[in-house]
Amino acid sequence: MKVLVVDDSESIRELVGMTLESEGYQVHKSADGVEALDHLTSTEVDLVITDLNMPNMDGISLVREIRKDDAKTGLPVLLLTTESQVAKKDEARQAGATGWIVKPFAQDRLLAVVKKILR
Amino acid sequence: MDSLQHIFIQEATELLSELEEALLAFENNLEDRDSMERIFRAMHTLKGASSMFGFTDVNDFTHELESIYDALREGTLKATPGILELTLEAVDHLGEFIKNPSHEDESIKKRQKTLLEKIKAYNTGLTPTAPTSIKETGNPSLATFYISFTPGKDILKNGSNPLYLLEDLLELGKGCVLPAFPHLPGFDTLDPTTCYTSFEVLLETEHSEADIEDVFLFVADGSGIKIERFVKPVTLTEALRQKFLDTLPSERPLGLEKVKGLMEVEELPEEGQAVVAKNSTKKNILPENKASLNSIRVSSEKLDALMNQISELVTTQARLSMLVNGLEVAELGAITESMSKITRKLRDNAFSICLIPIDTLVVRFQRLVRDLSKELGKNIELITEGTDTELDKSVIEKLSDPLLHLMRNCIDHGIESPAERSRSGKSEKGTIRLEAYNSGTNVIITLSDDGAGIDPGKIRARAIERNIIPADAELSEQETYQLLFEAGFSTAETVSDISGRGVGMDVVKRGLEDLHGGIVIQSEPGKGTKFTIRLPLTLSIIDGLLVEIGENTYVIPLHRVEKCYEIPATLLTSIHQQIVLDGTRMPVFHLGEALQCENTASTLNQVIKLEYEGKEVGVSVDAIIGEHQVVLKPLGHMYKEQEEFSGATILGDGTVALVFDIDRLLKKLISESVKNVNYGKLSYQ
Repeated sequence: MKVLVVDDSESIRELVGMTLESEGYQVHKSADGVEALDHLTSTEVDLVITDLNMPNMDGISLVREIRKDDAKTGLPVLLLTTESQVAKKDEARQAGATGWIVKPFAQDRLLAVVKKILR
Repeated sequence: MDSLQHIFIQEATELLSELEEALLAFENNLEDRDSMERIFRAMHTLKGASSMFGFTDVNDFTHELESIYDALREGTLKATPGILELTLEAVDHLGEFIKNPSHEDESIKKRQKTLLEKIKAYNTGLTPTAPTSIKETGNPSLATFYISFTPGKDILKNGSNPLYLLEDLLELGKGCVLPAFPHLPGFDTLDPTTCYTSFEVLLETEHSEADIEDVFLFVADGSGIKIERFVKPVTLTEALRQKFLDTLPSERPLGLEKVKGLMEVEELPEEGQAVVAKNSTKKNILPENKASLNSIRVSSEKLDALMNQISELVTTQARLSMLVNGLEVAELGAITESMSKITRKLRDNAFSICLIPIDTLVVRFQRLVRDLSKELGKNIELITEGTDTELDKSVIEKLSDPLLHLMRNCIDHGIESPAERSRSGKSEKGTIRLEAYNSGTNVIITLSDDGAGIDPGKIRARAIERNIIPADAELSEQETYQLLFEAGFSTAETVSDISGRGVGMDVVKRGLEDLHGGIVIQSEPGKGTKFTIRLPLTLSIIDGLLVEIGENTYVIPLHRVEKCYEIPATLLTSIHQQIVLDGTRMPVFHLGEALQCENTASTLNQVIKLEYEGKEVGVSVDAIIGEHQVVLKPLGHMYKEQEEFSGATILGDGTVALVFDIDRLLKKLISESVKNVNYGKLSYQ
């Protein structure tokens, strides 16, 4: 199972990556939405986990872009962010985000969510 | 986890420096939206990362700061110098904090508290921002929710399973699920891929409403979700559960009112507790920063390894070329030649990877000038030019301290107070210029101020007083200025907090010498002082001049060589070893003698003119072999006392040649000749 982790913070990328790798997921990493889209054109992944606030292209715009692409129908996208405002969540939901995890998150909680989506 | 912590600390340090840079830019122009966005983003990223790595204090801190800048961004708060001052202070504090996370230091703790209070003071009166996740999860009190979930008809087709969601819900606490299927069609029209069931859930949980919403974020738009919270928590006893489960399927869905009736509680849901979608007013920020897209980060160890391998390649290539030259096989010669071309290109490319612009240092300087000039009540502007000039990463790292020290000197001793300046007819605002440019394989950095300048008379008096030179020494102006770099020399009349930190200019010079660089001072009393620093572009591979002394081969770094001459030995006078070349008189040192070599040639000397501390000095060798690309290898432990050599290199034929450290060599030779000859009489200019 391949997971694309998108976050402008390297440490978060590494942390999420390590957490997922420990459970045998194959992890790809991108630093922002533009990079992530670029990555997705060449690589097929099973799940995208993205930060919300990023330079160049933020998480919600990334979700919108992914949803526009018919080839990626059904690709789950999880938002991983410090933001917990209802309005933001709603915006993400409408954009087509699959789920939402609030930072700081427990590693096992992240794994549980990922497992549920990818089962 | 440790390596992750390391990555975090590195990242946080970078973010803080980005923050600082943006803050300084913002201070210059309070209308600058770009800087504001940069500040906000850096804070946000720092907040997110710090919360994940257990730096809860940093998280609290950045959260409060972020609120201020959010308000600034939204226009509900106006930017003032006070806010910026406070933010800069906070950034400094965070920097120390991250470096020393155990924070057992009481003073840091105390400062943390006062700073946090100050920041909070700005935040009171602002509309509260969304609660942080910490506050959200930190509420342990039980609450009871009524959740109605009507999955969209297509939910099964999209690959979701509502039962998983219900499972998730029940994981949050204790509760019961009541399914209902009021719209179930007859068997003949039933579509097995359509979901006809809806659910009502009663849940008693410690989790917040947001957590419950989280569960349903997996659900597409078509589903209906209603979450209501009972003002007073109701304990879901077994009896109560049974009461719900006993309701007939035809009665369901029960609806909130009926549920309440069954619970026999007269409660109204709190206002605003229902999930209401608010229209987001915040725009997504998409700064036009495409530059960062095309770069990747590589650990410096990997780069060092790459450089090392390329060095090996260069050496091996040289050997191959040499071998092939002797063979006279035309085809092989052509191949070797093109390979050597490629190797050279590869070397240059690998170099440029390790080069970073001086820019990275400038932020620190800008901050220093700003802080110090405030502290000293001076009005100083820092003008930088050519800071995109690149230097090897390792050079930049080691350059920081010497440059900072010089900068401190300019601010503290160089630039006068505004009153003094206007008295001497200058503008009140002092200027410090930092300029950098490439010059061959050197990079020249000049740091100049338009301050009081340095009085050579004062230096001389002080040097005599400190027994650095004898009272009757005759020194040129440049030599006098070089005295500033002698250990134990300080011209500051009182040791001030700023430049007198127990580190003298001698440390600056030593630092630069370690980089194989040099420094020259020019000064004019009343007009200002100019430091000119010369640095080699890189430390590991240099172009060298291969020379023969005695039976051995040595390398003189080519970037120090100005000119080569062939001189009959008789022209070199034996006492002072002075010679006039191209109209300039200069001392000449015979390296063969200095190195105590036997069989040195005597009839004809090759004299190489070198530059040393702004003067010209000659050294004589037996023969000049030619140019050679030198891969500098450190000398082993045994040779660590041999200061006049900076390293060794392997030549094409496999022999080893020592590489001179010109500055240290000449320093040693000059000081030895001073011992032999009276200082006052030796004049090398």
